[in-house]
Amino acid sequence: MFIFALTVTALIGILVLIVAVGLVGQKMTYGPRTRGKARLDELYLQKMDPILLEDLPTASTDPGSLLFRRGVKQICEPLQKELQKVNLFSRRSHRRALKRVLLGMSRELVGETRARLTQTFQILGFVEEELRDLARRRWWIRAKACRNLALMRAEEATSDLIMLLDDDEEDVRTEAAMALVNIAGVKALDPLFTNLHRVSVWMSIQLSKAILAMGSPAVPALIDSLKSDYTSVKAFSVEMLGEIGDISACAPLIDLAGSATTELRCKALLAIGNLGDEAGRTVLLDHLSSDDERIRVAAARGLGYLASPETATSLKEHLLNDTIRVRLEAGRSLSRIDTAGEATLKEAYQETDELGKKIVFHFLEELGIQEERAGGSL
Amino acid sequence: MNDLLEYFRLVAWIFSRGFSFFVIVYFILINVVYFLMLVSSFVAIVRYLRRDLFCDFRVIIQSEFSTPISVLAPAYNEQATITESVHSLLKLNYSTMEVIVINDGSGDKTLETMISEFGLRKSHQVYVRKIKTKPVRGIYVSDRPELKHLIVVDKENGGKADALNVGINVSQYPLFCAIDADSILEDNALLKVAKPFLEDERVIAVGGIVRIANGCEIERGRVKTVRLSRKRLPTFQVVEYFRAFLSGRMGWSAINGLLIISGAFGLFRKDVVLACGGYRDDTVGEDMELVARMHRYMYENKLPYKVVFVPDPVCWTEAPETLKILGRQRNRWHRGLLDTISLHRAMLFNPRFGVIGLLSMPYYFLFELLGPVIETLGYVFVVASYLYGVVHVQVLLLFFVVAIIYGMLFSVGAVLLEEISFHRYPRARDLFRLMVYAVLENFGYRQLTVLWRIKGLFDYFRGVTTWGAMQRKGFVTSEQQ
Repeated sequence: MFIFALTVTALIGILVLIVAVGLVGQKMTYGPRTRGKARLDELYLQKMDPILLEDLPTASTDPGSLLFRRGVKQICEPLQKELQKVNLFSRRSHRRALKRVLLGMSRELVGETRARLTQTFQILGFVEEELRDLARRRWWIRAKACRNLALMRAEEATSDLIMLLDDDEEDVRTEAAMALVNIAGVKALDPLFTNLHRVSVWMSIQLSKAILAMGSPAVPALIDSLKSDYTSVKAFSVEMLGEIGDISACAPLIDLAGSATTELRCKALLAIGNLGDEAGRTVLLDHLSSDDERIRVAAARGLGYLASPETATSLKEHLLNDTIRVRLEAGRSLSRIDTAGEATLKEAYQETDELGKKIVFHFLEELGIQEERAGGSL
Repeated sequence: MNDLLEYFRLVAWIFSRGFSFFVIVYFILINVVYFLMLVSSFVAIVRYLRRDLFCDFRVIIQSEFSTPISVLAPAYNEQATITESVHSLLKLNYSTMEVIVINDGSGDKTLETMISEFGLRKSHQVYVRKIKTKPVRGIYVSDRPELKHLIVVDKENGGKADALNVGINVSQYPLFCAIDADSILEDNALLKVAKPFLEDERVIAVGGIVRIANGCEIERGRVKTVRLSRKRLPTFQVVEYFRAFLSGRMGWSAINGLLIISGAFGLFRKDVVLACGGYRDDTVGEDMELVARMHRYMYENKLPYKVVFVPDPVCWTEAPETLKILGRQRNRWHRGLLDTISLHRAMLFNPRFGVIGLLSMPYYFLFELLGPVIETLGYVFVVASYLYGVVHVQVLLLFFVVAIIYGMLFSVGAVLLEEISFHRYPRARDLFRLMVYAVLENFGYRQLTVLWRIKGLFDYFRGVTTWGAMQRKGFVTSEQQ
């Protein structure tokens, strides 16, 4: 038994030793390998100059036209031929370097040059490669393909990307959603919200940037998505509607505030406040007297976003008499309502208990009113 | 007389056979567990690295949707380093955060130094005592716009746990990050440690890796160049930390069995910590105890949850460079471990607590807590067996060699894990030294740590509850380098 144990130990030991030596060796050759890669990138960066900057032989500048595509194809031919000449052993690393360079450029270029780049990806077969990768078994290859297709602006990938919205891997779903939005813009929102089943905070962060950049055109799709069966999708849309601030979203948000789960209702109340539409005022005031503390906190905060002087009296009532969380929120919201809020805070000071006085002081202090200044007059 | 001698010989023979069998079973079990942890850590790290490729942390910094974080830094008698530490914390990359420094009744001028450096004034901020703590003497804020996220709380001395509880009471955000004021967080550390919370709402706590800064070049509260210390003791600890964090915690995290999040760097969901009652101030292992209590709370209330370890966000800390200080630290850690296991013994071997009750707690009990005792008994047994001639010397030697080789393999494996994944030590020379130290630690260093841990057990039963003074030399700056 011991001989067996010793043999196993020795074998594992030898294996670890080989890996250790290999890693030390790899570390020593890291510098030269990186330099070689950088040289190849530099080479293809220079080779791209004529493709992106020279006049097209077909004299067309409309990226959608056939002439434009033909023109780009013609100026790409020398590069294609050069790649063919590279021996089979090195061709893969050359193609990788070229793709790396093109993807790097696609992050920065706009306009006609960008359109040429999109065509170049097609002509050199990179789009086809990535489309094949979308169906691969390994999730990271699928996710990377989504990201690359977005950079390539490959419209033909749309249907495959929609299917990947239901992928088992969160990263693949997020990358597919991002790719869809980047490729198809507002048009992608309907299929996106129909096929998405779960939006994590992480995905919200990624998507919000693109959706907020779309602005009002995104609102109809977002309003539609409020009917989704999935709470996280609805929650995301509510937040987006609040941030975009288009008042056409006020009515659907009011509906949601009266019917959904507590979490969604809270989000809807905050979004209503964010819209700044006076139509939302009554709804927020109604919810301020809800039995649920979380709803009252959200309504008080929403009123703070709305910052309407007409709500000061109601907020004062809750500052004087409610749970500590609601009192704090009411105080904070009053501090947001300019002069009327400030005056109400000072009034509340006279009528409140010790804790209320502390809350009032705290928010007056945030408004820049120090105790010494406020002390006597309060 | 001869009969009595025969009788003793028989008892010794039975005992030696029984103990040999126990040691062999224990040895096989511990090595299988270590091997499984190494393998699962490897798988988890590779997955983490792959996922990291699809993560653009700039998006979190720019987004208003990122969950805001309160950074809590308890400080006790840190007059000399506090301003640099706070400046370093204020430079952390994150979208919405506040930095709360809690002066735990320092006897020196820690508070005064902060007041003058940051232009602080006493504020009327409402202090709601959600967790019972020692009295708060004052809350300070600055009027400088660039310091609007800084809050300094002055309180009566009550220990680190009490200071953290005050920080939780003062904090306004749903996540809080507990750190040691004398540690250095990397710029993106908060972003990386927050990511699991953003991805999955079931996550209740995330721990980051703690690395040893001795030997590294530090400039303005930032690690500029990563180097191994020239001294032996910190280098041994680097290998130990790799084994504990990359191989150990990563492996436990993979099966949601992580029981320790280092007090030097952990991010927690405040509502869960509040529901658990905050940090306990009557234990020296408050970090481990809190995580154990969170597990217990979630299981008892049948709530789905995850406790995650992230191997990349780095917190740099200064390791002890003398045997005396290191001994005190290990003694305290072992007392903390025993205290936690004793407080939560109801979870031990209890199937009601799933992975924690059936795997994590038994592991910490059998291998981490009792490991030093069994190892010491093993050494005593070897000597006694040799003297009484009841066991073949060759067999014992063979066993000893195999045990040492396995010890080396797991240490070298942890170093390899670091090199495959994060390769923070850029010089091949440092990597080679780490490999050598992974081998050498089995001859002397490991036995010393065993002794310190056993002393910790004795001290615990003697009722010692002190932390023991931790003298820190301070980080090496560029000029000193």
